[in-house]
Amino acid sequence: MITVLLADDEHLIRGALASLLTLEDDITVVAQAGTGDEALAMAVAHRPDVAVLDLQMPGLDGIAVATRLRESVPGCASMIVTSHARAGALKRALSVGVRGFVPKTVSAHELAQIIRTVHTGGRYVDQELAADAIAAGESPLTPREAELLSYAEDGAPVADIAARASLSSGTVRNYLSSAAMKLGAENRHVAARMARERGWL
Amino acid sequence: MSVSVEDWVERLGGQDGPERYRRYAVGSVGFLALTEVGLWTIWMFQSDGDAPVLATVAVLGAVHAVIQFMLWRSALRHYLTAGPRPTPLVAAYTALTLAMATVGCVLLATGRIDDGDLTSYLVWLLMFWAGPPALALSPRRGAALVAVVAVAALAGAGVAGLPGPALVLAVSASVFMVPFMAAASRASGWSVRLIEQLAAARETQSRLAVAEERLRFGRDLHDVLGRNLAVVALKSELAAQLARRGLPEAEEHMVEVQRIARESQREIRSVVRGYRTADLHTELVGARSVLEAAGIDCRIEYGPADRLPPDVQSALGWVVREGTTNVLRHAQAATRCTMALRTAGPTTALLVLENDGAPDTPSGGGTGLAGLRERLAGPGGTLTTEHQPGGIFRLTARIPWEEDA
Repeated sequence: MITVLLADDEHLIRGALASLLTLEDDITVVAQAGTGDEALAMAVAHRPDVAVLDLQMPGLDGIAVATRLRESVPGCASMIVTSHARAGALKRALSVGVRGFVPKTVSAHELAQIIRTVHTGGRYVDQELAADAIAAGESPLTPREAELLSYAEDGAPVADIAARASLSSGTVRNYLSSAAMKLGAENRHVAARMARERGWL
Repeated sequence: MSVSVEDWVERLGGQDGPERYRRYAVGSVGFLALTEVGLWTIWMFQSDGDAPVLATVAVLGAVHAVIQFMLWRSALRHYLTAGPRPTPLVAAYTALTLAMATVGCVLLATGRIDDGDLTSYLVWLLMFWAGPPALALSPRRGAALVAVVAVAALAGAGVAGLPGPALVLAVSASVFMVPFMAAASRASGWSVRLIEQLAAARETQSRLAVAEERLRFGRDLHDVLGRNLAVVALKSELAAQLARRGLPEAEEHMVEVQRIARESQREIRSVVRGYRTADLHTELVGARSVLEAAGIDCRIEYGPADRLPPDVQSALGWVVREGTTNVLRHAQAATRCTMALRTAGPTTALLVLENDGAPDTPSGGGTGLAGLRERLAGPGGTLTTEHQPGGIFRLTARIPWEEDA
């Protein structure tokens, strides 16, 4: 019997998924969590074989939970379920030892298969999510540039961005124009959109 | 219009352009004030005046240059941002200029300097005088004030006894220099203002682009979701009715609902992602960064990557993505991977993916590779796989191409 922890802040989805997984003969859902912190506490208490973590949750996100589980519950394999195709997320997940990376479009039946794969030490990465990450190439942006571009996304003026980042306007302008130049964008708004599309923010 | 705004801003040095341009404008004004100081110094060397005369001109000239600079700055500020009109400074500058003209005329009348001294003295004084008021006042009033002061100074020189030829020289030099300085002053303020308006227009333009993008996004999302949600609502209602009557068709409809929902999720993702285009080089780099994130050391030989035609790059891009996903899924123990793009003869591109840590018995990856084989067959390519002892797996894609001459 494979014991599973389900963490997702949308309880309708989590409940339905739990019911469907329970229908599989060899899988039991031993714990459910609605936030990252709850997931961590539940995992420590129940020591499941596999933790199925939503990427975006209140508090710690799925990858942060997986990072901590690796130390606190070493026997537990983590996998990430996501509805967002962000290239950076796959790389972050792989680098902290996450073994499954699947979109939310996956059916419960397929998810059960993947849980089995991950449980036996295998790795499963969704084809399309991997393709997105690969097509994004490697981000040419420095962490600082990515941070400032993400502030610039909703069209905020430079002064606001500078205040948010506790930098001077001139410095912010330099970072943003260097980011725009790297991306070949004519201004910071276009640059922010391009970087977002490629999952670099 | 859009192109020219971007062009202009580009020419002015990107984001900081307008601000820099303004700083240059203020800087060049400071340079003008320094030039005035320099010309007074030259005048003192050339003049026949005695020490008290030189000292008087030195002090007056220095003060004139300082006030000129201060007036330039506040005139520019007033002109650009509708700051207060620097009336007191204009008055002080006018008074000082008139006083200096008077001093010059008195020095000539009392025989302390000669004709040539007064001619250059007046021409320089009036030339520097003409700039700032043209920017500080409205065009008409500025021109009137500049003209009145110039005429008064030259008339004063006549009264003081500047002889005909020298007076003609002073008047004709002033007729050229004074309007020139006034016009140049107005024009430079105007160009700084234009640049700032261009920058503002660009800002508005990019805000519009953001808004437009949001609009497109919202529309696409609505198109995708609106239609599908309507079908989902209707079909589930039907299924519920059928289930209530114990009819087995209910299941069929629910399976359909499930299919439509997954389809919509996929469509939303493609809306969010936008149109994905990546060249082979980017895909190779992206594949390496994904593999390295998973702890697999990855080496790339780019070979002719950038020279391949787009359709060949796109076909090989599929190989890179599929191959990388395969390594992640099936080669659990992988530590190394190489991706080498080469040419085999002048007409064949060759992509070889090799990794270690593959399981001895091939499993699972069959469907993906079969799909890849079909895709490569389109442009006439082939795909071969080899298992070698020690868990080495090698995927080789060959695709014909012709290099453009």
